[in-house]
Parts: sequence; C-alpha cells; structure tokens
Amino acid sequence: MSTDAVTTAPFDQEVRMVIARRIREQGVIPSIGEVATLLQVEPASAEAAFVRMAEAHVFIPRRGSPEIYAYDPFCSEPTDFAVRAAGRDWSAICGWDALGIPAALRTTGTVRTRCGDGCGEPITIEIGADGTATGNAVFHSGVPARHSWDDIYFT
Amino acid sequence: MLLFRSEEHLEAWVARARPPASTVLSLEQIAGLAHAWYVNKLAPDWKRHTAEEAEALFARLHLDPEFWRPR
Repeated sequence: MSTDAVTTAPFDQEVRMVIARRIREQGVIPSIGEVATLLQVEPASAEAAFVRMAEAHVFIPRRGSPEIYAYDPFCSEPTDFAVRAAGRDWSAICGWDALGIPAALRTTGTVRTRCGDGCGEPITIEIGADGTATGNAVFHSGVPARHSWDDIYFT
Repeated sequence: MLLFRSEEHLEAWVARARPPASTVLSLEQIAGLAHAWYVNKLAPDWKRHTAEEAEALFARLHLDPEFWRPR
C-alpha cells in the first residue's frame, strides 16, 4: 500500500492537475506528450515528472515505461471491471478501484464485472453519490496492505 | 482483488486457488473504503493518505488490522 509523501514539486503538481482535468473533463488518461503540449514544456520535462510520480506511487506506470497504466482508480485500458459514471464508460484494474471511480468523479455510477470464481455470473453494483453501494457481491484481497506495491501488477 | 457473487462462490474459489493470503470484505466495507480512498483523487489538494490516516480508516471500517496494517 502506498502512503508515502507525494511529490510536492510545483511542476509535478501542475502535471497532476493536467492529468486530473483530462480525466474529469474528457475521460482520457493523457500521455507524456499530451501533458507536455498542454503545459507547453519539453516532453523530457513532462517525462521526468511522470517518472517521479510513478516512483512516488501517484500512479501505476506501464511496464518498462513511465506512461500511465492506471491513474488509480482509472485504468487506461479495458479490463474486466467496467464502470459507467458521469456519462462515460471507464475501466478499473480491480474491484476496489472500480467502486472508487464514481467517488473520484463525485457522482453516482454502475460497476459491472463477473464473478471472480470463473462461473461467469454477472455482478452489477450501483454506487450512490455518497459512496453507498447496492448489489450482491463480496470482495477478496490476497495481498496484505503492506505488500501491495511489492508487485503492483499482481496486486 | 476480486469481486464474487456470494460468500459461497468466494469460498469455493479460495479452496481451489489457495491464495497465499486472504481477507474478505463485505460490499459495505469495500464501498466505504473505495469512497474514502478516492474521493479526493482528482482534487487540486489531493495527497496520499498517511499510514496513520490509512490505519484509522481501516479501523473505522472494521477491517482485519493485521492484514490491513499499512507498514
């Protein structure tokens, strides 16, 4: 689990705000190049900020790259955890993150996935704006919190 | 971190998959955790939870204190 101090350099905060705005307003997790263009800086400067933020566990980078795989709770690729919120379709890397997407957007949402035991039964959970959930599901974690970043792609 | 249709489905999977560690959360617990953890993620003043804040949140949600010990 990641509870260390976040990078506090003013430029990194600017980068974080650009990422947040792109997610909230366009539903897109931006690339390093997009962030550099939006901030009118050299791509190398944006990349250095991405590297610092990834090392500080602000987001999960793609394997072997500082580009964003998941700006938790938002995943940049389709997954088995689909979420409908704020008029858009989103994806998350796990059940915890899926339920967190409506919260991050401060709205209601619907989580759709399938039972983790492979039976294929659909699971639908409605999330209220206050975070309350309605549906039939239980959640399992197999990685103790203190080890969650040991291998984040497994977690 | 997986979701299951019911505790019976979860228990059947645990018996088959034998994960090295295991804890179960109710929908109410995971919903409370997800909301508290991410409600400020896109806010200008977002910062990660400190270990103390995380421990307090886990305790409030009655999560297994050993499994959810953040450090």
